[in-house]
Amino acid sequence: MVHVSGGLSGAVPELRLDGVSVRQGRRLVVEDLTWAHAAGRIAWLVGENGTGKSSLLRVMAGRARPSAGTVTLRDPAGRTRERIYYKPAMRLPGGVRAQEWSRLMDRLAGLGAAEVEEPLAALRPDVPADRLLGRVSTGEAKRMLLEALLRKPVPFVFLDEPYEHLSGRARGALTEALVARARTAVVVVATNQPIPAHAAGPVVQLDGERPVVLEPEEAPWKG
Amino acid sequence: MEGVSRLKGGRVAGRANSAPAGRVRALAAVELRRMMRAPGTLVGVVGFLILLAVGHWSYWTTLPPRPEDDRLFVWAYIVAMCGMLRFGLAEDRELAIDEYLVPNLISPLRYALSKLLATTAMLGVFGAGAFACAAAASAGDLQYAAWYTVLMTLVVWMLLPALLLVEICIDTRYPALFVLLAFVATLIVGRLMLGPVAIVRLLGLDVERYVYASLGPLGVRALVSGWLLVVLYPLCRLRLVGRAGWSWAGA
Repeated sequence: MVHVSGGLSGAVPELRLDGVSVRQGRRLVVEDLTWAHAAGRIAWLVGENGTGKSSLLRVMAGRARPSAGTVTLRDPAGRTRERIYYKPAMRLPGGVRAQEWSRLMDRLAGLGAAEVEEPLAALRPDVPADRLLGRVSTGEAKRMLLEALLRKPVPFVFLDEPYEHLSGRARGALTEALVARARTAVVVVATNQPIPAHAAGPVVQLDGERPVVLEPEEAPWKG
Repeated sequence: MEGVSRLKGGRVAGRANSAPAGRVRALAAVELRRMMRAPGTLVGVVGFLILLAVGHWSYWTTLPPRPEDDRLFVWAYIVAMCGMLRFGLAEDRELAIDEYLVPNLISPLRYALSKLLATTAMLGVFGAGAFACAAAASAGDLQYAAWYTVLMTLVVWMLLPALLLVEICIDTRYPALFVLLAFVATLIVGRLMLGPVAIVRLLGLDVERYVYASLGPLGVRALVSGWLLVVLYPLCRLRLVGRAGWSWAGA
């Protein structure tokens, strides 16, 4: 059975998993997942620690191969290679000043900080330009990393635990930015944090080898 | 113009989005600043200055005729390089910033090029500084300062592929230390197996003081090293691909 979220039409970016199995070392964490999701709403991967959320997300993002099955990305504009992937272990380089980093991100993301609009702009922390990145707080660093990545207008966004270390305000800004992005892009978020009710979307629940796919109306919304 | 990308169970192939060349320069500039501000760089520069000062103190306090040696320039350069020389690949791996940048924001090739550009610039900046310090310490003996700077720059350039290999294999912020250990081990083993003259010739180190023509063999090896870096790029990319490269199969 194929679980379809968002009604695949070919008019928006789509992600499709066919019989995907994922291993963490020798342990099989996801078995035979068939699921499809189209842009429109955020898709959530939820489950306890060690259930394979991050591994599955890496496979979806193309950062690792599935042990079986096929992951298909489809984009009407043909930009299937343009994806962003974020994981909580990513850290800023300490020997760079905030201003230098900001300029680099302006260049690499293809969109200057000044051009970024709300709600994404609200995610950017107010860090003094001459501060070394080794001296910004963990939360500020996470916000800087996420804000710069999300500036890039790609059709596929895969975020692993993006809410980790964020303040309540920053979480709100991130959720708003993701909801806005999900209208035109496939956005998949792996988290074990409460999911905001207004960001409801399909949920892939990983609590055993066989994942359970829940539609928004079935999902146990917590936030 | 719909596009489809499929990833199946099987080999992971590497592919990344393209980026304008200006991004390489922008990333290289930030990398250069990172290198300059690294604690190892400070330690290296201080070590260089101390050793050079000691060497010249000994030289200037000796009554003429003074010894015709390097006045500890070579050792000072080695100490400096042990502290500061790196591509930064291993450090980026530790921070997972490689996976953030590649291929989210820049392709593996441009990332590697920016690292090479930054390291080359750092070698150039340090070389110029070392030349100036040596010239000042030797009271304007430009021949001494220039020849030893060129010698050591060529030696370091010759060893860059070894540095890259170390960074690919080992997670360390001081890869040049490992290169130095490997170099010393090679010298010892080579000396035992081939004899001292042969190993020195093999490495292109049979140079004659102040004779630039004698640096030719070393120059050739440094040139070959440049190509070796290109040859080693797929290995570097594989290391990136293992953590950060695209995995896709065209429809």
